[in-house]
Amino acid sequence: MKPESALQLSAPALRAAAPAALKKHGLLYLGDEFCQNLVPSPEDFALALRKFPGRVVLVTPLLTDAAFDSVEAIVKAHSSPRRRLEVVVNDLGLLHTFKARYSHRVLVSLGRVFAHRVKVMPRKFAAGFLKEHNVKRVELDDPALLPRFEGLGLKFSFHTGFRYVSVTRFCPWELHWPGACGHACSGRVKKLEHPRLPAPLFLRGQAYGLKTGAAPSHPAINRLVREPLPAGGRK
Amino acid sequence: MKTVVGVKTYDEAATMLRLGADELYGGLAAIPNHRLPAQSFQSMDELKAAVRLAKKMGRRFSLLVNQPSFGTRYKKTLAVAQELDSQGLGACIVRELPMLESLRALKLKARLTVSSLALCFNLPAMRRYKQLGASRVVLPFQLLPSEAAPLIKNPYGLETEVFFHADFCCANIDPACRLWNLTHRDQTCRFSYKGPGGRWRMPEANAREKMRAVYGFYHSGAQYLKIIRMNDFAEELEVFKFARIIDRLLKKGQSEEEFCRLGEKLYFTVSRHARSAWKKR
Repeated sequence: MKPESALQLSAPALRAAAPAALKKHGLLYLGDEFCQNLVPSPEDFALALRKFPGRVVLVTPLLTDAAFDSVEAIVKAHSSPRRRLEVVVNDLGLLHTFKARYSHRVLVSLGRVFAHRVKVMPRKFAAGFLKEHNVKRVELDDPALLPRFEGLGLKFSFHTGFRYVSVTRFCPWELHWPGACGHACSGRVKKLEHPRLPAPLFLRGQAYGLKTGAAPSHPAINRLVREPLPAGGRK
Repeated sequence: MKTVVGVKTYDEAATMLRLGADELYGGLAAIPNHRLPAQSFQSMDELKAAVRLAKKMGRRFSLLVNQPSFGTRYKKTLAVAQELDSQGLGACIVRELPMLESLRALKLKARLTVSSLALCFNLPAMRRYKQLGASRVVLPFQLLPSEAAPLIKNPYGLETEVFFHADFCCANIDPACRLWNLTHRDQTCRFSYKGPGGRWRMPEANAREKMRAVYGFYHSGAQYLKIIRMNDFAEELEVFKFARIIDRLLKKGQSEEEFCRLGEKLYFTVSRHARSAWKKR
């Protein structure tokens, strides 16, 4: 079966996106796994539901309490037992809150940052942890991680175009700690080269990563998330 | 703020206790922790002696268990924690959930501290760690004082510990950083990259911003100030001295601007970043 296609957009990119650009995909990943300033507000999320004809998945990074409240407001406003909201989770507090209070309203996908924590757990513990928190899906961008999650009854979303390597909280675009954000990173990417590195690094938002090609073929990969590096914006 | 100081030998432990460190922490080279083996105690006997010394002086010694370690090393880690517990260990500093649960199951007298590497960013995460038996959380480097304030004032009775940002602050979120894997030998975050428009370095906070963080944590009510382990103990002593001066400045109740101005000046004279300047004085 052909994997479903998803487009990843941050909240500012959604606001700027022309409706025609959104039509090619059946699914929209709205938010960011690496920067809480790119997570949608409840108003952004409502806008996405109006603009995008398909399903919208909420994507979240590590969350401070303020950002946590915003995510919880979206969940309260846009989910119900009949219309469960899919959320990509990278934060233990959010994962546990979903288990305790929203288990009938959300579908949890384990985010790429959190996946690296679960991959090191003993397999039996990991299986119990994922089951306890109703995790049915894992977001991956590295084929090397597939074997660590195989056999646990999970589906995989594979992100193409960009494999994250590191995350910062000191904004490399505006040179300050998080807080007032001018979204200077929007639509931009920096290519960083060094002779000791096997390939260039790319800075996108708050994440450093590598450019990647097509997704591997695997029976449990049933979703491809396209994260295009902005063309011509390498400033 | 009380100082929590990293040590790697018995002599370092004795020196820091004599100089007034309120708590000590360290790792054992034979069990995984987040620093190189050279930055840990090399023998169990020496570590046990340091734990006993701290206990005798009424201070706490915490064992670092802050690196994923499973399989046979997992069992060894638990055995080490148990053995040190019998010598008066104060706490285990833990990163991963399976280890936290295993240590809890041992019912040690030592308390459980959640490592900064566990990335506890919010109150719901903190509540979860409380449920899992933690009594203290070390806040992640990258959490700002304003963001950390609700955690510091948490309603769960958990103590909080913050890093001495004025000395060191990694801008990248270390447990989510795999830059090391790109070459397996370099601190690639320190490279001078060729970027668009010229040379480019991964940015981090400057001295003034680090001072603001220290000021903010103090006024948010942070109780414990953590000083990292260093290869060169002479440098660590300088940083400890710097932290004590900074603490005294904070207790004087200076304004944020005045504190940052003085702190920045001290940063370039006392800290290890300008060691030669200190020696000339």
